[in-house]
Amino acid sequence: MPLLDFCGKRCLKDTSDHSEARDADADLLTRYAAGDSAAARLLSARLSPRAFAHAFRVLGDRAEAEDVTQEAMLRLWKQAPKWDAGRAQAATWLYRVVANLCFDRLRGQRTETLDEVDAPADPSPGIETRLQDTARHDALQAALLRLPERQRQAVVLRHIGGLANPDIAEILDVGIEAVESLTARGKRALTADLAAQRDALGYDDDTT
Amino acid sequence: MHWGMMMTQRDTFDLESLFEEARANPPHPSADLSARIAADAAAQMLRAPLWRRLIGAVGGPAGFGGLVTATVAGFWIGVAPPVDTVDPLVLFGKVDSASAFELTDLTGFDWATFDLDSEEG
Repeated sequence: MPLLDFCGKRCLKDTSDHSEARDADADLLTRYAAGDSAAARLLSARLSPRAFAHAFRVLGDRAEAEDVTQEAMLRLWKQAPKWDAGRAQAATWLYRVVANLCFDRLRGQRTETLDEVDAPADPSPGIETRLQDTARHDALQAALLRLPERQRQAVVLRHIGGLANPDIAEILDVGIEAVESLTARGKRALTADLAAQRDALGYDDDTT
Repeated sequence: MHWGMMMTQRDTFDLESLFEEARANPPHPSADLSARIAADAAAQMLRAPLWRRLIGAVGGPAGFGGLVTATVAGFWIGVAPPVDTVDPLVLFGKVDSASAFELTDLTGFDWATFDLDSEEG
């Protein structure tokens, strides 16, 4: 079975944790749908920080990441009454919504930038500068923002979110091989980018 | 030579440690975001139709099914009680046994009371 070959033993070991989390989230969703507001608080505490962290890394902007997280959670609340516990894990479902909302935002940003090309000079900082400011000049974050969108999402999910490849495949709606390829290309591009930045800034003094 | 230098530089660049640092310092959502999410959750909960909230209150569809089963079973036991049903009056110690004959004393009526035809005839 290619799925098992890909994720190996770690995946098998994680299965029980996975199903426990799935059951806990599904149970909380049922309780929320039944009018239990404490369940809503618990679900929010369990799921929204991870959703926000992903959106922040992918978009590089706190306010946008918070909007995306709120929108994704709103969709979860709407979905709660018809939630099918056997079908999806709430965390994976939410990541999928967040990833799609991020794609939408990034597409919006791109058209915005194209529109601004012919516009008269604007005293406000360009989108690149603004993103770098909000990302607090974090070298990794800046390099992530220069990656193509799909590679960026895959790398963030795999290496910062710590998700398994089959989950990432489900979130990004691609095959497992495509996830492998996206993360590998993303990591190569990041390494090259960060190495180039380091060389340009001349702080390569770790050989002494 | 040049290639070798580049390889060394690339190799010394530790991407994994940067990832590790990023994992260790996740960005935290603001309290304002939590409040906004909680407000949305409350608003959506109020919007759920009454029947769904009622079904939810008895434990979802499974709980509702259990209630229906119990109601139907109780009704049927009332309509057609099993022969050896224990009479609640026996349990309370009001009567020794629950035969139809002795129950007439409690109700104050006897089948003979309603047997009007035989007296007139």
